[in-house]
Amino acid sequence: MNTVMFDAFKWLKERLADTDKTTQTILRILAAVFGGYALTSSMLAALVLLLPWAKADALFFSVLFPPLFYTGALLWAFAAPTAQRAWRNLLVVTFSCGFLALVADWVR
Amino acid sequence: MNQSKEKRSFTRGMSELHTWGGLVFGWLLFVIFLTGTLAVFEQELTHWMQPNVRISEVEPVQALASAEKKLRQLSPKADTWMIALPQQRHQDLEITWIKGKKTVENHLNPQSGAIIKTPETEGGHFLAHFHFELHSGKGGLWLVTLASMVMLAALVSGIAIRRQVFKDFFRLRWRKNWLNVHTMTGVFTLPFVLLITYTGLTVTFLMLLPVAPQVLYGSSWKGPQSVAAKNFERPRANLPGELVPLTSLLPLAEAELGKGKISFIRVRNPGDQQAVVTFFRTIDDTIVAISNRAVFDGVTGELLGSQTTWSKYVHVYRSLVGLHIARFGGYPISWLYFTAGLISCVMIAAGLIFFTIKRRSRYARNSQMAQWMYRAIEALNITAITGIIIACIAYLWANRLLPFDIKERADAEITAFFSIWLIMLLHSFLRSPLRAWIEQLRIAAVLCIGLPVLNALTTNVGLLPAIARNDWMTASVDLTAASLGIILAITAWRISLKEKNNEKLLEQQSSLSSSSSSVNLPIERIPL
Repeated sequence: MNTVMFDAFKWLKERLADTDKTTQTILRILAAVFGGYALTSSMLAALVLLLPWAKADALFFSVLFPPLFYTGALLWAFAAPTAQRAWRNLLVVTFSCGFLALVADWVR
Repeated sequence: MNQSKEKRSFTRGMSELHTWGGLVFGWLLFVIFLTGTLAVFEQELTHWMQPNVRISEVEPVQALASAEKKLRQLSPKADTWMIALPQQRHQDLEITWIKGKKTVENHLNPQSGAIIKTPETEGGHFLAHFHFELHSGKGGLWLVTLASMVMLAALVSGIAIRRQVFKDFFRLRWRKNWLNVHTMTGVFTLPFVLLITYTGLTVTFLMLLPVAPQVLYGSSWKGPQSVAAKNFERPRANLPGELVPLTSLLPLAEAELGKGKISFIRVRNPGDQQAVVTFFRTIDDTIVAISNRAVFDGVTGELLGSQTTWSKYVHVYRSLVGLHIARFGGYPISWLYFTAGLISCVMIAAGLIFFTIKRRSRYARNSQMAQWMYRAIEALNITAITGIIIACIAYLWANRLLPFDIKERADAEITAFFSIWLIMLLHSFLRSPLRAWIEQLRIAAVLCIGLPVLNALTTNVGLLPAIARNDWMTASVDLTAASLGIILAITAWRISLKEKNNEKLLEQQSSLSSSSSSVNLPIERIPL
């Protein structure tokens, strides 16, 4: 059981470091769809929590942004030199914004 | 060195995204854009699909009186009554009552107050809905959202890989090949596509990714309406109360919202002591797609309050919605959106066709698998482009041809739409691509040009009687279908000319070089 898990983990690790074209493209698509989802959510949360406005104002102002965030992430995933870099970039921004949102929520 | 490598990979990444994202989502995008374009005339299509509902102009007060009388008679103890008054582009008096889980909708003659018997139909509403949900709820909404984002990304990446298209466009270097048709229509409709895609996405994201409301409101979130609008609702008292005549409230509501501007009336708990009557203003003359409203106590007739101003960000958000649904500017704006939508459809179609043309000679020399994939792409192109055109026009045909009183008639029309589309999918796999293109274009042309004939034969709102009665809403559907049919017929004819040329060319080549078995046509001579 343990060896199966270990082999699966090793396989996954190898795939994630893979540079062949198909794996790269699959990783990029995954980054665009799921990385984009995560990035949009955390940026949106940070935005509405950082805005020092009434709730309703912040809410209806924030609707202007998700299309831009998500499309930006999508383009970024394909513009990065490698898929691994794309994932790294998206995750760094996602977690920074998530952190910001948590801090803002805590301060509130 | 490193920089140039990064730059190369940037262009390659963008072109990969544009080519494959554009292909896979292009099928979907054509479908979304075409049905969305038709949905600009949603009300006209609904009007056309209800040939029995033809009423003469009346004063709002008289229409309301008839509606009120009928509702009091049909369901005095309902949970909700709704009345849609006749409008310029909604020439129909519609009453709805809801009791528990039961919802009943009727069309009334505003003069006599009698119910008009009319076959059930979803009308243009189906196309408008299909345009963003693909008839499959939240999954469809996500798919449309992803496709729209790929559309935005494809615009950016398309410009990134071919910056000279702007120069070519403004220097009027318009050549007649599929790539050029794609890029030139792309530049031409760029502002429209940006606007329509962006505004559409702002709406879907609030439904799909309610991060902001959840962060701000948590579980108390009850939809954007509950935050934007003042709440005048109140619970049922379960004590009987005589409902004040709605007609007596109409002048008071008009004083609040403007004379002749009331489009919709909702009564909650009629016959109860806590009844509430809300009058909604039309949005047909404003870009901010949100209804001003006046709310009255249903028993005393006293004004509970009204809302005619909105917070500035609600204004911004609903203006984006208004820009998307294009109800604000009357017919000039509708036709502008319709035309821009059709040109965008041409842009998407030309891109899809160019994908196959560019690869036709390459795949011919490739493995069996690659050839099969290429064949599938070509068939899906045909299904997504001409197939959906045929399905849409067949939906209108089904409305006229299905028997009057079959059960679930509205669903039967939608089933016809999907089955015809499925048949077109099979057809495009069974016939050779070029034959399939020509045949499906011909079917579409015949159905479009035949629509006025069918309408004249099966109803009494045919083209000539409709024009005589000044019923341009019906006549324009006929006329537009016929004109689009003529365009489709010309396209079919020109492609069949190419097919003939192509056959001649093949004969010449084989007589010239009878030794070589494979014929390599120069790329510009390949059909389509």
